[in-house]
Amino acid sequence: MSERAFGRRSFLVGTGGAAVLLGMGSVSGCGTGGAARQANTVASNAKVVLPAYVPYAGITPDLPATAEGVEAAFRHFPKQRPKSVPEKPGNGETINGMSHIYLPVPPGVDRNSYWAGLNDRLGIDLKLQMVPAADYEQKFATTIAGNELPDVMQLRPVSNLPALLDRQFTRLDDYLAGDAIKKYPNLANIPTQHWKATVFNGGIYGIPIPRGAVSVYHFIRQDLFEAAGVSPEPKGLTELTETAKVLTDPKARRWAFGHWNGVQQYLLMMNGAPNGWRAEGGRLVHQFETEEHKQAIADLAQLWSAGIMHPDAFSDQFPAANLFAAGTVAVNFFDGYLGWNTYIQNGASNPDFKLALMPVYTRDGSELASWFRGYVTNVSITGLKKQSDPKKIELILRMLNWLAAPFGTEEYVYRVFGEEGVDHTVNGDGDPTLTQTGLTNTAVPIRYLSDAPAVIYQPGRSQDADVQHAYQTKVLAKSTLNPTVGLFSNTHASKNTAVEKAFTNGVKEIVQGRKPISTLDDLVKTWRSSAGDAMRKEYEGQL
Amino acid sequence: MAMIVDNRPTTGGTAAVPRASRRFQRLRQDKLLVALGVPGATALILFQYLPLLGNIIAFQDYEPYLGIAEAPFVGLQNFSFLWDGNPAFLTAVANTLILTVVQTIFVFPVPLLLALLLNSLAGERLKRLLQSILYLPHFLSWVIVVAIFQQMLGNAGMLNTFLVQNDLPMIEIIGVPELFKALLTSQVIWKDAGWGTIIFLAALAQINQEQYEASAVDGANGRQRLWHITLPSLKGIIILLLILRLGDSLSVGFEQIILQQGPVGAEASEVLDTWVYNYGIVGGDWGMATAAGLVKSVVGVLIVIGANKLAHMFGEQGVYQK
Repeated sequence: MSERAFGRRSFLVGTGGAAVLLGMGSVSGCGTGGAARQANTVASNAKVVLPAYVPYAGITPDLPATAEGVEAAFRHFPKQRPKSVPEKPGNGETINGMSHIYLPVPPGVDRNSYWAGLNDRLGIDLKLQMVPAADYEQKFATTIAGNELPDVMQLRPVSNLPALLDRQFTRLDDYLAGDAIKKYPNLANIPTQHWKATVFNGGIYGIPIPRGAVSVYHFIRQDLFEAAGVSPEPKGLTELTETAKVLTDPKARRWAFGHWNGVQQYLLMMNGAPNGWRAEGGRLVHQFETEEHKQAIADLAQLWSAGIMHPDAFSDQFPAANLFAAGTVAVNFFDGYLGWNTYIQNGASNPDFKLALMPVYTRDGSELASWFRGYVTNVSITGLKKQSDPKKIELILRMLNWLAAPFGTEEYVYRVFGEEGVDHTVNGDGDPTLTQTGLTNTAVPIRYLSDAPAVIYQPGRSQDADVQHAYQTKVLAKSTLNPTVGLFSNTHASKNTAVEKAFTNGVKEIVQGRKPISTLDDLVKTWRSSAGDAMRKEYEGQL
Repeated sequence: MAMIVDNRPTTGGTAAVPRASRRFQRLRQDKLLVALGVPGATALILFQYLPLLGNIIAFQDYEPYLGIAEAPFVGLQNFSFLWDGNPAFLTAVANTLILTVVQTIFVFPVPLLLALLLNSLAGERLKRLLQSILYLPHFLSWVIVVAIFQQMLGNAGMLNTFLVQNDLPMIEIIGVPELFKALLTSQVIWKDAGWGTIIFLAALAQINQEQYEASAVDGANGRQRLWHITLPSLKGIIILLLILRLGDSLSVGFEQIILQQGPVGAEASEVLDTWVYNYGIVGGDWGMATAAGLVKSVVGVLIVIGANKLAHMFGEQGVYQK
């Protein structure tokens, strides 16, 4: 469950603009692709019939999911473990796949009883290329360049993605649109909004890997807050600064805050900056262009000069998770919300370790700030290579359906926890816990090919379900959505990374006091002329 | 190396007959050597020369999924960074040139000095021990080296933790733009100076010991022997290494720099290789990335040829003989 790194990665790539991981929509003039394909326009994409949503009803959660996007929560693993897929998806066929991995690469199928068992349950010989997440972009590009596409793979938002999809990947409307998806009930369990990101060229081109609307948590070490005698819920900037000063003691190698971008994102929420873009009277305004952004940067510069951030907070190799586990930093802002699981595991050996979550108040502390909702709605989408035989596509979809088995089902237990007695043990309450073997073996990254909607569940820690559910309910009560989520901008896909990196470099210099805050205006000007205005135009054309 | 043999039947001209047969004879005579050379030459052609054809991307609007065959030609458009005054590119060129000069002056002589030092040590066992210690950092990857420097000299590293705990002012070394080039240079020296001594030590071992004995008899002291025997004997190898180094001079350590760019910003740290990565590879602009690589290689070749010519003018052997 280590998507923590994903949060890190997305903020290394940049801030608000990265919100749009994948999207549908129109780009005029992005086509160097085939002539026959339908254009990737608003009109053609609006006509697409999205897959029907049939929520899985076999299991009732302890705390329900809500319309605001709070996830369902389970205090214990359900005692009944219904089967969700009656028949084996395959009959001994081979399927090649490729996806990224955050954990150490697990042993191959010949030395991995979990993987062998998985293949047996699928009735498929799944050959999976596991690519370290940080290298996936390059691997993806070279795989396409070398024309060595596996049958099923994680897609990335590269330039001219619509043309690439048209040439190399299967259009899935015939298999999934409308009621057709009911043949794959576990895929039909994925809510409609996640499917919007799979629409290009007037068709459905992938399977979404859904994640919750809360997207990130602001993690804190409650034990350190208690030891210092400060409230874990500081209201407003002044209280936050005071709290951080109490938590910091350089002589004891303790600082309040870790990596600079986490703090930046927290302050952006606090100052009410747009979540990426904001619609203002039919026009889009980017976060970078707002006074709220400027104020957040000025605030950040103050926190840095106060010495309450780790001195190496600007290092690209900042080992945030280790420092947080070691108590060197007390706060880990803006990290992937599934990191809860990893931090609990990391802290297991420390009896004092107490994990908690900090909400964000407005700068003056008067009320809760608006949450950046659905910063990442899907981890990615999964594409299927073009096949001459439609039966092969159906086979792959049956496999992806199995892999999307919902929480609590028999298939879920195996795909996440492996074999009982080998990969996991079960306690008196029925909670499975991975063994050391299980931790190694189950790292096979199938969850990045297909996955069910996430739920809140921490094995053996029933109170965590309530803590997280309450936090999600609290912060999502008031939230802002990036209006460009689900839209595709070719400028964003091709230029944004480099342009935003240059912008971020300039911001870092301002925060560290090497450049005055007034240089921010020049940075914004450069950002607008090199990509910002073009992205705005492309997005506005789709609203 | 494989030779191209002219097997065509000769048409008239009696002088050609003995020449052709002489070649054939030589080939037969050296067939073992030719056979030994073939695999190497094949590998060289397959993996060094054939991929050069891929440089055609530099003149195309290349997209990976279209492939080379379908990508449209765009002339010199990908080379526009050379003349459109792109500030990021100019910063990268400036930083690269400064680093090249700094590293040639400070890094290049260190292995030589170290080799002379090692050579002057009397104890054979001490010498071996020192050599092993000096070689070791070469085998560490840059990620490790950067992490070690961070742990030792970083703002929360060993040095600064010690200073802070003893109420002394911190010394900021890592993450300071003004010190970045010095940091890079010292990292290179720390990592590779020991490894660089190998070739000099081999050259030192080649020097005829009788020369030293004769000069000692003539009353030359240590410094005179160094100046009149050791250094002249090493001159050829020093010039050879210097010329080869110049060929690489526009590559000033991609991995090392990309790992440490974050805290100091692009202005102090962007070099040609990182610029190509940040704007070409990351942005998916393969044509421009290839064009930049091509320009770099051409400049490198020109520098090597120029330096070699210069060496010949001064009567030195250079990389190859005239």
